[in-house]
Amino acid sequence: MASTGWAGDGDMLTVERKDIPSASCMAVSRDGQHALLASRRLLVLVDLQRPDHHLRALSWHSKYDAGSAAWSRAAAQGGADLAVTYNTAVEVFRCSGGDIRSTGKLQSHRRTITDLDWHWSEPLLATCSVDTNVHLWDVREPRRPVATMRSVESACQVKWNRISSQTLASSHEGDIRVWDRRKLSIPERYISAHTAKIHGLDWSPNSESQLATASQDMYVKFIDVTNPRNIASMPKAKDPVWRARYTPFGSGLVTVAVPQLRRGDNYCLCLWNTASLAAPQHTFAGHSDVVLEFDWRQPDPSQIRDDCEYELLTWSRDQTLRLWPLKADLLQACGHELAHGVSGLDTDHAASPTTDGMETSCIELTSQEQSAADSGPGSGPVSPPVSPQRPAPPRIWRAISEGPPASLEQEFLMINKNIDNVRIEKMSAEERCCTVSVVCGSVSACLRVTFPLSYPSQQPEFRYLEGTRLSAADRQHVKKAWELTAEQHVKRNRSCLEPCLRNLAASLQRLMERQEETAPSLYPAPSTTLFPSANLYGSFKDVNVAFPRTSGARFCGNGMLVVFACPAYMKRLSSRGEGVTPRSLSALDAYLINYAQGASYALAGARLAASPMLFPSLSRSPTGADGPLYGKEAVRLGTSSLGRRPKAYGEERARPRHPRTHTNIVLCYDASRLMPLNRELAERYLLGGQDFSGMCSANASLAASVGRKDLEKVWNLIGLVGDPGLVGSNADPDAGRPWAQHPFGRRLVESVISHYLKMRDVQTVAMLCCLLGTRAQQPSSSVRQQAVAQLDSGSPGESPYHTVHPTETRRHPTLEGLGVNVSRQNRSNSWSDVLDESRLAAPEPGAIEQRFQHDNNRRLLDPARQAEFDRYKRIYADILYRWQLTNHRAQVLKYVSTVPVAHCGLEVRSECSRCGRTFAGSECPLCRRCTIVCVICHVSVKGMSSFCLVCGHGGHLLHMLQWFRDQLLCPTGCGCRCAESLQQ
Amino acid sequence: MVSLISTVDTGHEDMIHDAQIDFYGTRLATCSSDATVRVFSVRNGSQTLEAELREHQGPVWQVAWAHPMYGPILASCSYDRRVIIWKETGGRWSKLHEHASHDSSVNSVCWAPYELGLVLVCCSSDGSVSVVSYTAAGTWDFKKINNAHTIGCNAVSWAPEVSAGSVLEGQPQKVTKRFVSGGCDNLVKIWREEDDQWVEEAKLDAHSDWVRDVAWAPSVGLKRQLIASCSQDRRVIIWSNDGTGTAWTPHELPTFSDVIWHVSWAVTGNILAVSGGDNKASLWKETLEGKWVCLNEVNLGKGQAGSMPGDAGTKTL
Repeated sequence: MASTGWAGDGDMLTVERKDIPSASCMAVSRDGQHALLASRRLLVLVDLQRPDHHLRALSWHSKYDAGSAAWSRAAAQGGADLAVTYNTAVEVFRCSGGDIRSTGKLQSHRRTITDLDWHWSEPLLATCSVDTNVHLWDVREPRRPVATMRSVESACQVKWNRISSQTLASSHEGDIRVWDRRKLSIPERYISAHTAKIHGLDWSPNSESQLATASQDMYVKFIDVTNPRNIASMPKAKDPVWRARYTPFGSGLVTVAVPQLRRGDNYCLCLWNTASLAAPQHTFAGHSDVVLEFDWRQPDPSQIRDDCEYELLTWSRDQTLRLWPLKADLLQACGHELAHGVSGLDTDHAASPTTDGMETSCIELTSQEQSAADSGPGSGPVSPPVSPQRPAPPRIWRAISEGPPASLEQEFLMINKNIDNVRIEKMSAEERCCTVSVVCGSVSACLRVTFPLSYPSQQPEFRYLEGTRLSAADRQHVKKAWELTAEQHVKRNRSCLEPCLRNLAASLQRLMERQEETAPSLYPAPSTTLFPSANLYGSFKDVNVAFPRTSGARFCGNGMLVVFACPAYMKRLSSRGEGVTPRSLSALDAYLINYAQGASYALAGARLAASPMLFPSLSRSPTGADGPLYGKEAVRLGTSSLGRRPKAYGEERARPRHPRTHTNIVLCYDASRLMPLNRELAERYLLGGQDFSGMCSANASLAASVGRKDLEKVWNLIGLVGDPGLVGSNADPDAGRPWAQHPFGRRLVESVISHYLKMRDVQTVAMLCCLLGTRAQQPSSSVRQQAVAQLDSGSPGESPYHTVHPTETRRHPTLEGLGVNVSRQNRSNSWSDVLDESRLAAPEPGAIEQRFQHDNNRRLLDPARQAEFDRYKRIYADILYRWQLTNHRAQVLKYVSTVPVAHCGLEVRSECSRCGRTFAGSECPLCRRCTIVCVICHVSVKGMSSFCLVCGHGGHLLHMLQWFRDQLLCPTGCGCRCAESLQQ
Repeated sequence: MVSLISTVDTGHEDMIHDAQIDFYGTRLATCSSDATVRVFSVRNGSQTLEAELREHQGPVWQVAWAHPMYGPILASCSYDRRVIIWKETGGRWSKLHEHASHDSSVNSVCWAPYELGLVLVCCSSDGSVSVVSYTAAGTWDFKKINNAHTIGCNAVSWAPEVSAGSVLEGQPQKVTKRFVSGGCDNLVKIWREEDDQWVEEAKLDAHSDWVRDVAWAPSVGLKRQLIASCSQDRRVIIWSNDGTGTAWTPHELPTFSDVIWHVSWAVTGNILAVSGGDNKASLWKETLEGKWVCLNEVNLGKGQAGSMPGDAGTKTL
């Protein structure tokens, strides 16, 4: 059984040694009294009996980092106890009475020494190096190695056999060479063990021929050197294995894995029983960085606490030294037989040790700045400058017992409420309960936790409330996990609410992921990499690329506002007041790394790819929408997650709504109310029709119904001002000034238009322009013909469109007014040409000009500004298009004097049944009869029509729409399934 | 005044850099550092993932919808130096064209007004701006303005279509194609096409740091033209032009608390959405008197004395 979380459990001892910057190796003395930490500038001897004692140090100067260190195993012979490698040399030291002094230097390797190992009984030292050689040294004769073993590949590890004094093994990439000391010219054995580099090598203490190897290929293998084909291997690890070493007791083995690229937080050591390799017996978790070295010590019997025979000592790059005492049950679990027999071996117990045996006082040594300052001159800063004469006194570490919070109330106050997906509804120390809800996608749990009076020595209880969306099995599962977490903490008399909540959130997260995996997933599961983006950036040109925009608000479509915000970690940084966001992409990496440090708590177990996006909800507050929360919340969210003391609970409640945590959400807002455009009006406005004033009053009441009182008045006014009778009066220039020249005429209309233009109410402006201006006339040949025909007969002409808008000045006012007979000349193709013709035909040019001017003056909108008015219409048409009101758009566009593009493509043409001509429109230009007859009402169609493209039957648009509302077949009974053919 | 229609959980695995809704307000396109573009259908407050477009090999900075008269067409630009134009046919999104003529990250894309055809302008950190157009022959063609902005160009925006003249006024005016660009040289530049060549029409110099975004306001038919530009220097400048000549008058909004990344105009051309590095957005509106006010300041009815407009200028309007 793997039990993690030993850290802070039992009597683990942690010593943080920031005063030895980059101490890269450690060695434990053979008596277990001292540990040596070696860096390039300092050798520090730590008294393991009293880690809080002043430590002895020897200042040292080397250009290189200490490679590895080893304490001699035999009693000091030749005056050497200790060997430390620095690049190509081995420095040998003598250590007596807690004092270190250098005694010599072994130098023969040409390149970096990778490992060294003392002989188990003789003053012999084996070193191996990248220069491919393995040297054996007699420390009494430091000038040259006593023997050299050569190979072709760089050597990484060298180890003496623990039983046979003649045998040693060295590793070279993925191979192992086993040497006999007496015959060094060729290796005794040559074993290809791994596919990748072997990092760790160790001889079994129990068997002369057994080796354990740890390799980059993530395997740990057990090799019988006498029978190299007999290789047993452990299950593949998740990460490359750095070391695999046998325990000095029983049949245990300790492995250290090094996460690739040092990602993740899996810096733990695993203790295995080689007899059962399915799962580690124990995991030593606690280090926050790579474990550089570990060793065993047997504490002095007089000092033994709690029957602890063995202690594991670890040194990590996080600059902490930890002592992990192993309790009897673990020792048993590793096959160790107790020296001073406890009761007989309980095999069940041994197979599944629990942490029961480890509950005792916890000594956690934490840095105390004050005591460091008190300890004398030269102490203090984290990395004190080391002077050669006077090594900096080490800092003192004082034990602080971390007790449970005094009361439930205190725990509630101190709890960190910023747990992903968790929302604390209610907390009451008086009632000794709290209500929590956790929402994770489709799964959610609401629960009420009650704390017994004896808490925290007794577990809190919880039950599910309404609103929980979990299957019965999942409920059980979650509950079990909760209870386990609670039990672990309560056992140590610790408060357990927060860990339990985190556990709960994690459980639900897993459940949700499982559901997503089983259900057809909408999204692929987010990748587990820490910062996916960090990989994608990184070209040298990044300094020129702008820093990515991570939040934004965009107006889109028609009156939509799209808002997205940056993930919480970015926000956190920017709200910290560290100045403005960097401008270039090259700063992003630093940004993300900063975050990782700043928010390390979030890293623990949390998947960062799904880092919460603290995006405040805007309009979803209970009141319906508009509480001015956003800004305040943004600020609050930004700061509260910085590890500040969470605010008192009351404040939490006072806020109307908790911020929900989201991942990469985009919010779409309807901002159309900010704009003077109204879609409802657009849909229902009347445009065209016989009754001008009726239309205006209908539009007026419509405007009133949507609350636009101003528009109501405008429409009523326009109804009066634009009265066709009034506008059409005084057609004769001699009859007097036209109505449009009245102050209530053109001037009024134009001032209204300019007012709404200022307000950007293009809707109103365009409507007014349409109603009071002129209709569109298509300058195409058919129009010309119609126009000519119209001039011919003096009867109302036809629109170029199928629809007919009777109110408009269907006849060109100029020509109509002129009443001249223009000969049918088919040269012209536009209105201007027509005008030319009419001018030519007119008897007196001056009179015509006067008449032309007069007709312009009669209009309510200045024809000189026609282009401008057309622009408004087109922009309004564009807005209608965005609203997908295409019919309304077409109606508006009919009033544009210039039709943007001539139609090219399919065109519906009708054929006269009498003369056989084809033409656009409904009336044969020659026979002058309507060719289209509605199949329903049998009346000629002049306006909008609709036809089946298959059978050709059709008629009035409205009739067709009505018919096909509930019919499929053609109304004529021809059997054509018109409605379906239309869809095809 | 602003109501939430829908909340779209994009499911992007990394930061979102842009989100745009199409012309009709029915489709949402988002792009992210996870190198994907996602298209969602957002009708009636509900949202469904229509497509995930995975062709880019780097963070995708911006997306842009073409006018629907050309069909559902989307352009995206990415750190991988490419612009990809996507098209949906029969419910399927596929790559229509890939424009890969830039030497560095492409930072912004913008479609021209539909009257000018299917024309796209994009700008890159290599300092150049390219105008990609779909030709009558059914091929894609592009013209490049080299060294439009030294160090790099960050944003482009088309001018609204300047309408053709009416027949009654004689010959239709020649359509002028113009766009504005902003770059790392702290400048905002206006470009005009003349005889198939893009020439620099105006150079607007007021920012003191990289210009991050530019936006040409929809004109609503008025002669007056407005351009908003925002910058690393925490300022937003609204440039106005009376429609004659090439003189642009700057008007500065109060300085914000952090870098401003986005400026975006509402369709009426008098409301500006401003958002930036402080993760806040504010809406600014021009009053009838020609002043620019933060909308919620107006709505709250209080003078936000002593505080940045951007602080209060958030979405609760």
